[in-house]
Amino acid sequence: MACDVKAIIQELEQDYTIRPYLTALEHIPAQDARLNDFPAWLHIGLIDQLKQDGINRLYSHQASALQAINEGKNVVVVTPTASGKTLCYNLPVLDKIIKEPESRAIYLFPTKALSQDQLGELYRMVEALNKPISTFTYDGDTPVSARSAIRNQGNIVVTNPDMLHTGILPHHTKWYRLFQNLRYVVVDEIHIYRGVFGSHMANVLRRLRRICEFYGSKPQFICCSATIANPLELAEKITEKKFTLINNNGAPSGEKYFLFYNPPVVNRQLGIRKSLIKETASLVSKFLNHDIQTIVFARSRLTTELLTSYLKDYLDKIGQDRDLVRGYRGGYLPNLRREIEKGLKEGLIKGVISTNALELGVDIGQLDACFITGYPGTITSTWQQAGRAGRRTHSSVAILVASSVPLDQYIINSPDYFFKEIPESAVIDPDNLSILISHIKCAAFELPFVPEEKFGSEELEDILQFLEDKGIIHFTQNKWHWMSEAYPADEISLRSASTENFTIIDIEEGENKVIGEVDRESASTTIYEGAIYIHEGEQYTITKLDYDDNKAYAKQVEVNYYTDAQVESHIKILDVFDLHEEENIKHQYGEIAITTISTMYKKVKFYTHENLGYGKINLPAEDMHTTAYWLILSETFSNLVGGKISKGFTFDLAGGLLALSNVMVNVAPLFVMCDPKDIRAVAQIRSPFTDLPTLYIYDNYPGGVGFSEKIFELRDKILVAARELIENCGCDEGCPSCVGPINQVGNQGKQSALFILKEAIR
Amino acid sequence: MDLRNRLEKIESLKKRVQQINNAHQKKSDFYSQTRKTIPISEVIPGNAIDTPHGSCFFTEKTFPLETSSYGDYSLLDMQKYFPSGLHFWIPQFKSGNEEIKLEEILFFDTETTGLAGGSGTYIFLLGLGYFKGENFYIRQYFMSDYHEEEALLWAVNQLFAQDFKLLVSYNGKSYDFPLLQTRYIMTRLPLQLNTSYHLDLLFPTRRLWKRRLQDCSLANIEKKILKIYREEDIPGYLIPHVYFRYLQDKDSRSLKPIFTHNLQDIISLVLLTTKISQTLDDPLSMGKFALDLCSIGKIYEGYKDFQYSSKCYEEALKGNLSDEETLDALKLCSFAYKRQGEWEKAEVAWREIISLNGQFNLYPYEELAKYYEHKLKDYQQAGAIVEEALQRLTKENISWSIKEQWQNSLYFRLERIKRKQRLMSANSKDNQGE
Repeated sequence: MACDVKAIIQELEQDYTIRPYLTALEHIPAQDARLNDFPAWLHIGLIDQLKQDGINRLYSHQASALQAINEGKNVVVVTPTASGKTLCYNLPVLDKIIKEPESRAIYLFPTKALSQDQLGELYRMVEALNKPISTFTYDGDTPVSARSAIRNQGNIVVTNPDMLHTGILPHHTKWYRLFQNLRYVVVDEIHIYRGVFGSHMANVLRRLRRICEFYGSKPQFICCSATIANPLELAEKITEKKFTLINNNGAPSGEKYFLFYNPPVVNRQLGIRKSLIKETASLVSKFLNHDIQTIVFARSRLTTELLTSYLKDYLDKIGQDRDLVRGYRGGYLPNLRREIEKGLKEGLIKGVISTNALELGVDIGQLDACFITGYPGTITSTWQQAGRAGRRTHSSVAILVASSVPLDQYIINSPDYFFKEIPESAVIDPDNLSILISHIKCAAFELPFVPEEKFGSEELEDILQFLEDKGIIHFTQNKWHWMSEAYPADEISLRSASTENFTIIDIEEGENKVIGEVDRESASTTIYEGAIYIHEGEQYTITKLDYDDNKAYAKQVEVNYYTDAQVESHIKILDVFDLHEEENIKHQYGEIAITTISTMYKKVKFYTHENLGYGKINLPAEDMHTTAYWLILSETFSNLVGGKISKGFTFDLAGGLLALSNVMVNVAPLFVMCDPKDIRAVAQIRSPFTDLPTLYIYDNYPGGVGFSEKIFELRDKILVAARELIENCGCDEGCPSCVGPINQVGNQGKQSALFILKEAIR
Repeated sequence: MDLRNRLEKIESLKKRVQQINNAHQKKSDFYSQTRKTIPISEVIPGNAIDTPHGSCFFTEKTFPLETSSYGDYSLLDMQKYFPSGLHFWIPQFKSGNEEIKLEEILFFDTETTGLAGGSGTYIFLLGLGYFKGENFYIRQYFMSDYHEEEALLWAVNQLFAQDFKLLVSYNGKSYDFPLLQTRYIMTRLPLQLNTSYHLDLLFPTRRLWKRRLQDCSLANIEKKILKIYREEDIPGYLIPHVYFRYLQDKDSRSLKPIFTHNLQDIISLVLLTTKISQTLDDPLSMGKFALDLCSIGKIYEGYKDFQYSSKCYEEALKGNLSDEETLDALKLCSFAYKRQGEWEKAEVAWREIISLNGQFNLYPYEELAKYYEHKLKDYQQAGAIVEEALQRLTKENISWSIKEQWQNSLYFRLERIKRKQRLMSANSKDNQGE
């Protein structure tokens, strides 16, 4: 196996069709284990158990974590994938329960799949210990009949933030035994809690601490994180407690290679590169030939499905079983996912194509090779995905294949930025007013507020006063009580996506079989009537979309195209919070109402990406109120339209504005630490509100999460970066790697965008 | 921009709040009179009770048993029938060792600030009813604002702590009682209820009448079963809102309908207990409705009294039933016969089900085949009935996966029967040969 990885790297290096496009080949040497003895206080039963499992000493980071926890400190453990971090919390928790059997702990995992996995491991330990310790998962799938037993006896309750938020905290009186005896709160994968999700999480934990205080318990926090720049700061911000950082990783690892591959340019003038999907498929097929177990991460569901079907076709061609390669993504139903996870562990599956559902620590064992198609957006996430490949003793390889989007092109051409720079910080804003108010409502529902209380850093009393004026809470004798029939937790989803899912039903299977799920936001762009929906590499056409009932009906088809929805947006400015005016440009930030509607879709032919025709989409418009940053260009720019500025350059306002919006929306995430899909841009050559050319960048989250405020603050840096990106791009008239394709922005788009930027930044 | 303004802005953007406000507006129209501060004691005759935790409002109403009649019943009727059938709902009463007097029953109903449950839902009015001597008493405890909650719960504890053995409620097991427990935990007061048993009338009501009525809300049961028609009753969904409005303007006039509503609920608890007891006192004479007789038969079945339950079903089958209901009753009846070992009667019932020609059912054929094969050892008849089933099944229009499954099990059975048949005829030939 080890030879295979080295052999294939050598093969790639010697292949003249590949070699020129490898922009980095990093070798990460093997690391030996660093070990410490078990601490003396650890219960002998646990030590015996570990020894039976062949663990005779602890890794250095496990030993440090145990020591700090034993000293009563809150700890955050930062170590790579598969370094045995679960022992860092399982050991102290189990030790405490053995010694004080009434003790309780809550384990919080960001996803359901993850909690199931962790529970499996915990069960094995608990069973072997033969002590009366009960561990339970409590999530949406827990049968109602089992819930009361869990509430009364569960020593360890494994759940997720969403369930804590809607199911546990508002019903804390039913959980009083848990809260009275709560000793530990374990927050695994804490780096996932950034942006909107992290801001919500911090508030959920504020509510948790408030309830613990009511019952008189003071739990200790144990957090685990992937490698990010600010794990300590994040843990302290999310829990509002002092923490000790544990990062002396002592786990051994085999040597590892990290390759960057930039698909060749096929049209220099247009800056068009070879298709990311086809290039990846062809590279992966080499790995399959070598019988190397490989995981491929794709950024979207569509890419996942396309890659899966390309690779299955390849297996067909070489006369192998199609099922050696499987797709794996969020929309798949749990049984199918379990089956694929098992196939991977047992080696029956050679290749798996996944969205980031597998990025988190789902237990599929370690693989030999990992492909990352498209930069995942952050250094942290890239290392985590790459960590899926890596054996303790053999060599492994991770390969990043760049797409032509600007961010990818920047990273792939600057390997030093990736390998030398510290990873990103996780940014949260627990005091985002919209999020804070939501959770203050929940908290008021859970326990009445008293005037001297603290909740977040805003003036709590002002907010309570405000909610009182709205008739949601009621003040009497020094306490604010909840005064509404509503159950406030139900109205708030912790993740930016809404909780409502559409189910997709295969109408041709006898018993109306559900083949997948799509969230509400994606419905209007993925499962409109006529859309081609790809599931496990099979094509389905959506025959009917029942929008009120959240159901889509699909029928299997075989066509040579896929579909792509066209989205239209209308924006109303509701209020301006702040503004900055310069000679030719105005910057503003405030609130907008945006209406998005999908009106038609394109049929795009496979492989050639030719346009085969159009179809209509009849779906209601989606409205959202959010915050936005916008820049307004002066009348001067409008007057220049069509004017010849210099030789061969005629100013094109529409193209230039669109080009600029494409660049901005790609560059801004680097500065405001958000995911590219957290913000959206819309360009209008004459906005009905400003009466001038206007470019909006808005938070893609109802109420806004503060990204646009950050963009407003950092506008100069972002504009400079946008200019550098355009200037440094090798294309002639614009390409997808900078301002967007020429057929979108026009052949004057790139120059016009640069012109606007030069005028704007003086 | 100052914090308050920003708050206003963000809130005004939220559609949901808008919707709530609209709903608010609609509800407000329920009471259009001019509002002014009027204390509760001016609207409801009653007093403040003082407790170590402050005071709350308390009112008591007396109902002489002789003269208090509602619908088909008076409060006096409870004595006649209770505790008939109680053992069906509370198994501890089965042995006959456990006895209960009327005066040991506490009837209980709450009015709350919402139906969502959870720690943000409060009980603002708690009604308790009990028998004493010639009268029935209802006490209502009310908090005129949130800070009176502890006093309310403390005062209620004084009555709870008396010698009550049985708590009676409607949906109290899953709603009112857990909420009460939550309120005591929230206020850190001990709940001093000594009742050993809780009879949640929702369960017997469903078992007795759901088959016929479907809707088992107390309002529907009052109309359809107790023949009580409330005049100007406040709809339950408005109650939280009326209380919230009162909290803001302290005009107690709007609360009067809630007190009346709660009072009526408690009286209905008594009447419903009476009705349920009477129904189970002599079910066959009570059963005007064939469907109710089926339900009663099922209750006795659960109690393993198959003789009585088959009587109920027989009686039901004499009554007015739709084809589908008849099939259902026959099925229940046939299995009650089977459990008693009344095989001939069961056979007749299964034959009748087959002859009724409704949608294809596998079980009567299977039951007959089992009976012929295992009991009578008549392989001829057993084989014939299985073949009849197979023949009918081919004509049925049902999903093929089910059809295939059924066919397989029938073929399997047929094979076995034929094998046994061959073995028997071989044996009998051997015997003849000797």
